[in-house]
Parts: sequence; structure tokens; C-alpha cells
Amino acid sequence: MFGTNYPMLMASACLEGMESLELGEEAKQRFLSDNARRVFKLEEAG
Amino acid sequence: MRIVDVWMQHPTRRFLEQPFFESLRRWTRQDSIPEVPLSLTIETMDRAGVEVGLVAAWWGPQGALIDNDEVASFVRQQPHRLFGVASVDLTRPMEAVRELRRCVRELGFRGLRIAPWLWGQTSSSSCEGAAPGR
Repeated sequence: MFGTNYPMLMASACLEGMESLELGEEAKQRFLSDNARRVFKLEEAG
Repeated sequence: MRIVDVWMQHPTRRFLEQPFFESLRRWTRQDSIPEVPLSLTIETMDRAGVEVGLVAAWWGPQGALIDNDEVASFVRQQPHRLFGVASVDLTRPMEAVRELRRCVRELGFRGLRIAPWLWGQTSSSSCEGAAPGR
């Protein structure tokens, strides 16, 4: 999962090196979005 | 991509007054501590393409610097962008459990955050280690 510790760090800066990790599209999608939505059940929110 | 940031705090003034922000204050040359409007946090997310943020309360040995009800009020103001994460007093475990239940059942929070370093613990220490006198 992706976490910045804002306001200590800004997301824009944290994401700068993202491509250099070469995660591939599927892993990147899970890392930045899907894992957190599943674990914290964000889609079920009203 | 609809990015989720799972580790954020929307800062209260009590939070920003902490010594660990001193270097940040020096760097930004601000002597007085500003109140940070919620819109600034949302704008910061927008600029980075972050759609959803999990904003945590902050409870350390000195008390609540961002309390759970403050987090709940941030979430109520931005219900499509923010979700709450609770923080509790680890030295009072029974009350901590009651507060966690309240946060999940009444305030709709999604998790509990424990930052062991804040309580002088390592990340591998047991919860018992956080109790006074152990």
C-alpha cells in the first residue's frame, strides 16, 4: 500500500520515483489503489 | 489511476506545535503556527492525483494531538475523499478498546494506528510492553 505520512511528506514528491520501481501495471495498480480499497473496505462506504 | 494514500494526518495546531516539526517551521520560516484549513489538504491530494486519503488521529503519551472526534469531523466534511483511522491511549487498554469500538461503530473508522516509537517501543515489542510499570 501507498502512504505518505502527510504533512511530513507530500504525495507529489513520493510519487516522483514511482516509475523507476518498474513494478508493472498490475502491481502498480494494486500498490497505489486496489490493496488499500480491499483491506480497508473503502468501496462499501456510504 | 485512483490513488489511495493510507497514511496521512490532517494537522491540528496542537499537532504542528510538536518539537518534531521544528525543523519544518525553520525551513518554511514560520514563527507562528498557522491553522491548516481542510481545503489545503484536499488541494495537496488533488495536485498529486490522490483520490482518497486515510487520515489518522494522533494519540501519544502527551495526550491527543489530533483526537478521534476531530478526525470524524474532517471525514464528515469530505466524505468522498477521506476515511478515518483511530488512535488510542495505549497505557489505558480497557478504555482504548472501548474508544476503538466507538470509532468503528459510531464514527465509521476503517482502522487503528499504533506508532510504537511514540510510546518508546520498538515495532517488535508486545502490547504488554506499553503498559506502565512493565
